[in-house]
Amino acid sequence: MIALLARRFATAALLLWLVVTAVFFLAHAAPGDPSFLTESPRFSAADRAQLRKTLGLDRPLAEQYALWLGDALRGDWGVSLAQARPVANIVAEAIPPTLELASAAILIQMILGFSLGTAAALAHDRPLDHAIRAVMLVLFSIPVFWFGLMAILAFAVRWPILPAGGLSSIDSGDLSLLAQGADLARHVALPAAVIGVAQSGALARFVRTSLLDVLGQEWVRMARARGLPAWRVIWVHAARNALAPVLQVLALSIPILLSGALITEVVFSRPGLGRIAFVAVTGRDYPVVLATTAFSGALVILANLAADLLHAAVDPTADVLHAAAEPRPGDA
Amino acid sequence: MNRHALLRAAPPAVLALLLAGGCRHAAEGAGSQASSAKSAKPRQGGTVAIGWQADIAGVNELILPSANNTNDVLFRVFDHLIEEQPDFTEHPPTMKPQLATSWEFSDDRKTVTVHLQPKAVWTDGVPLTADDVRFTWQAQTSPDISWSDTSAKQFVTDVEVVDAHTVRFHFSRSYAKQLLDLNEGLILPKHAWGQIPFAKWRQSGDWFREHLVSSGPFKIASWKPQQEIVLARNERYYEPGVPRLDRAVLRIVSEAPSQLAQMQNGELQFATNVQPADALRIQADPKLELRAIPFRTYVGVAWNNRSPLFSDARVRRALTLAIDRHRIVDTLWGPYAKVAVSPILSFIWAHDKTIQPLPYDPAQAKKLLEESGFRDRDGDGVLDREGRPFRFELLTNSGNQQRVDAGVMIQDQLKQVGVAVVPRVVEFNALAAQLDGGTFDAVTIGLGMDTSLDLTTAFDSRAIQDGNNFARYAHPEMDRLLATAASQPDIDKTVPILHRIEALVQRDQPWTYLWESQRLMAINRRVHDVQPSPAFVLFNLRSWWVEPAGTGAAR
Amino acid sequence: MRSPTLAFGVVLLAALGLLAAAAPWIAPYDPDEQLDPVAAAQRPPGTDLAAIALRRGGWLLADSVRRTPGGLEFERLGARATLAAAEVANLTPDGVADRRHYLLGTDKFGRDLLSRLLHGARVSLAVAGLAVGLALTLGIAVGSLAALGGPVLDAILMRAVDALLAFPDLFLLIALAALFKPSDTLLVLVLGLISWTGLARIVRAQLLGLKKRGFVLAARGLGRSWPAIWADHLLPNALGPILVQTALLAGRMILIESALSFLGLGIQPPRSSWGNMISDGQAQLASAWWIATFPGVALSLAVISFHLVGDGLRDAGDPRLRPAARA
Repeated sequence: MIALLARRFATAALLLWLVVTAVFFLAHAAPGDPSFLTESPRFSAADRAQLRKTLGLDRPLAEQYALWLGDALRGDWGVSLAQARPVANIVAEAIPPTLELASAAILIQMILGFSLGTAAALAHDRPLDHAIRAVMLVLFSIPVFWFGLMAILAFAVRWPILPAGGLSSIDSGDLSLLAQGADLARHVALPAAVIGVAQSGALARFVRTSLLDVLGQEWVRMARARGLPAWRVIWVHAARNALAPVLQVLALSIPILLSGALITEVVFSRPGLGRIAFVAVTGRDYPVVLATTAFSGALVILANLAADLLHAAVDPTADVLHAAAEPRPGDA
Repeated sequence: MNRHALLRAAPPAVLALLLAGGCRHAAEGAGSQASSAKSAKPRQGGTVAIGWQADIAGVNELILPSANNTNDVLFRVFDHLIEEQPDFTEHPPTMKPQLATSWEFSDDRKTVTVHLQPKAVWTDGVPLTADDVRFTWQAQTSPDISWSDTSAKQFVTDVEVVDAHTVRFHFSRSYAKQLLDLNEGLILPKHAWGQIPFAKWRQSGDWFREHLVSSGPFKIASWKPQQEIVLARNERYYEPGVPRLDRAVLRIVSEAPSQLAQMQNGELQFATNVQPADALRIQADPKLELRAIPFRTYVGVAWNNRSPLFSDARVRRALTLAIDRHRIVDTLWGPYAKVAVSPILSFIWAHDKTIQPLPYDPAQAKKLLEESGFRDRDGDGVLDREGRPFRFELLTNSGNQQRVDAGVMIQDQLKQVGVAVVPRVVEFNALAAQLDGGTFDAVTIGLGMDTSLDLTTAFDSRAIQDGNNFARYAHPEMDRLLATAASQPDIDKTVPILHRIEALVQRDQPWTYLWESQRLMAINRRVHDVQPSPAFVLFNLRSWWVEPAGTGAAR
Repeated sequence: MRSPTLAFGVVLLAALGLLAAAAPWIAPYDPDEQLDPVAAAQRPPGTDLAAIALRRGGWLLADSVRRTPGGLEFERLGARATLAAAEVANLTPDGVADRRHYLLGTDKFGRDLLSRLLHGARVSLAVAGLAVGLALTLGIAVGSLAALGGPVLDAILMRAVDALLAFPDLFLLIALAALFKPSDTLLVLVLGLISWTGLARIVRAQLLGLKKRGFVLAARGLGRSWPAIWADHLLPNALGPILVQTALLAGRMILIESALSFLGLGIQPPRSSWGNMISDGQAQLASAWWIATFPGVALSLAVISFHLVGDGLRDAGDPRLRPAARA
């Protein structure tokens, strides 16, 4: 088992290396480079050549790659070409807002997804089930960015009860800790709700299917026949059995969440990983591009690994080493 | 952009990615100081919250790509030797002492002696001296740093410390922009930033931030990246009573609709990014005042003069005639832009005001195209010549809505005369690489203009290789005129030369000029004496003042 | 087609497809037509304007026109003006011959939103269709090779799948689209290339299962080659799950295409796609809500219909979910 785990981790590391290497050469293959960033009108060809030399961009690509990889392995992610400061600091600053957004979104997704999914399963084939399924389908289908725009139109323009963007209010530093928290929550509410609500459709669908599966099994029907109350059957027996696959879905939704956060950060002008990645790509700030891709890639690979381990935990016969090759709930 | 030079000095061309502004009657815009201030007496203290489009990239301009949103802030935190004033509608701009109290040229004009403000101190109390000025020049010209405006110093051979408050700039030659070049760049603290070697500067953005020592009217009190920059009064500033505000809080809010919403709910008192479409909403709000400032950028289509399609001046003229520039301006800008005619902006004193835009005349355009061999021989609705259809890509950079929209309108208008345009939006960096290499047909782009009125990098034939002559325009007379203008030390005497240059441009149409726009801003009426310049929104931040909330203004 | 879900999805999808296919004939106007942008821009749904054709070329759009003895009196942009009869090309006894009726309103160039929506449907559906086709081809090929090509090939191919999955796909798309010149071909390629992995896994899993089934072993025993068995037995039997996945994928393609176009990286103006129409409307959200709203509704409907079809197919193919199998 340990050996298998080790091999899975080794594979994960290999994957990450493949991903960053692909990104490195892709980014450098694109036209333009950071020396075009300046708005200075008198920046001449000679100045550009000198700047490229100073930044090390004139070296052979293979050499730049080797240097970068060597540093990255030692934990040095390099210096941003646009801001002349360590990439690690830039990424570190961008993680909290994204984390705040993602965790608030997951919370909303879980609350909505579990309650809707459970309610639908319990009301199987009755009108409530159909109504919830219709709602889930719609949530699952609307584009996140358009949903975001509509939310701004409704709650920030038409009935201005929530801020349309940003992380916090002016002078929020002067407020009490409690009020600061409330201020942060107000600012994250709209974007998090947009992602969370949109994502809850997929989760609710899965919760419903899993619960129906479990509820259809012999031992659950026996338990109910023995007169155990419905909630007890659901929460103690059925839910426990449905939990692992559901967690698996949650882990697998992390990449989708990252994509959603990216576009939501753009729509709501929130500084975060998605936004800095977007800016870095357009400015050819190679070290920042690489660090953000590596970070999000690692997150996704770890999430996939976690999903596979969860799968193995539920089903001991599963082949952990090759679990990754099996279709996952998220594939469908 | 380069520091002041942008606004004052001349050159050319900035690929301005920022929004452009424009004005219907530029002169009126240039003088537009508006109305609000008469009611009350200036007051000390208070805070103004400003919606700022993009975060500053750092605090040390020498290691950052030159960008207007960063420079505008750093210029309030550090001082220059001299400050150019935005009073160039009728005469060349006046130069106001800042860290330099006075300066004089030697007889051969190759040496300039500068006397420094003796009361100037850094925020840590250390006096600002001639050593700092010399240190700044050393940093500006260090190849380890590769400052993006280092060419401003190419003719400066030495900066000599005469005494603590006197420095002497030695030039290798005398020329028109000497004073502007001398003044290029903020004065930096030797005692603080001289502690790390130049070779380390490009990695030390965070170190400079942690060891920030400055000398301007404001200091950076706090900076939450991507969120807000708090500028606070520098109590040690040498000029008494400056600034008037206690604090200016720059909130990073990039989207125009968000800035508008925050203006209306009172979170912001100044919005720097206002779209023409929202102008009416601001005018309808009694709390707010709309301000339109001419922007020192012109936008047009640069035709690649080396492409076989556009090498004939008659063709370029025909395209200008076939593009309804007034309709484009009216649709995209409403009253906040005017049709541009020349690389010298219409509100600048040296512009030849007799130049009129070519008319919109599709019939004449068709005739000119026919004369140059373009006819629809195969009846597909697209003109052709030698078997090749008149079809080309019109590029522009992403992120600038008006330029993208202009492409859509030009495509529709040129279709009427049988020219097929494929508008294409290219991400900025990729576009810059294409412009540099000349691998394009036509591009809708903006160029910044400063008051040195040096058009060399925009039209000199050598600037095709090394400059901003995107149109790849090459004409011996133009080269000659540009060289004469650049070496003429008396800027007033350059006016006839500049007019001749404008006439050449009008004749040959290397570009089709589209618009000069205004930059729109919204101000809460509690804030007074706000006078942005065409180059910098925060130009006179030191003079702004604010009534306490709840008094005076409507709410 | 007993499943109402499936039936509803198919009908909705067919309707959308029909509208898109017929767009050139049923769209009221040319989607790129900019008759008089200053007067027609940002008109709300239901606006009705008179279109005056000028003899010297060009058009004027007027809120109202009145025939006068000398020519035409009209109201445009809140001001009254007149034209002599000789200046107007489409004069009739009681006004002018042409009108423009903007059922869903206009955008900032005064283009008809309904016409753009219909033509945008063609673009969005075609891009999604081509991308799905590409993904389907790749997915079936890689999945089959992995299942039938032996353990080494299987391991290599599945690692490649994992590597692609490790990218948050929107991020990859943004990088690619920003780095290379946007074009329809690039868009289809990129969309197809990132989305075949799920299909490949499903195909592989199906085939691995089917391989051990009696009829396959029998065919093998009769000496038939793997390619023949693949074509005759394996693929047909795996078709159900593949179809389900394809329908869901089509929905996702439409969503991703629109997100890219929204960010300015997909379909390029002046052509319309639902995504770039929403993006156009973003700046005018406060002053002209309809520009961003209608394309979003159309987009959601298309995705919903694909999901309905996918769900319906799955329900039909999954014995556990059939009414008879219910507890």
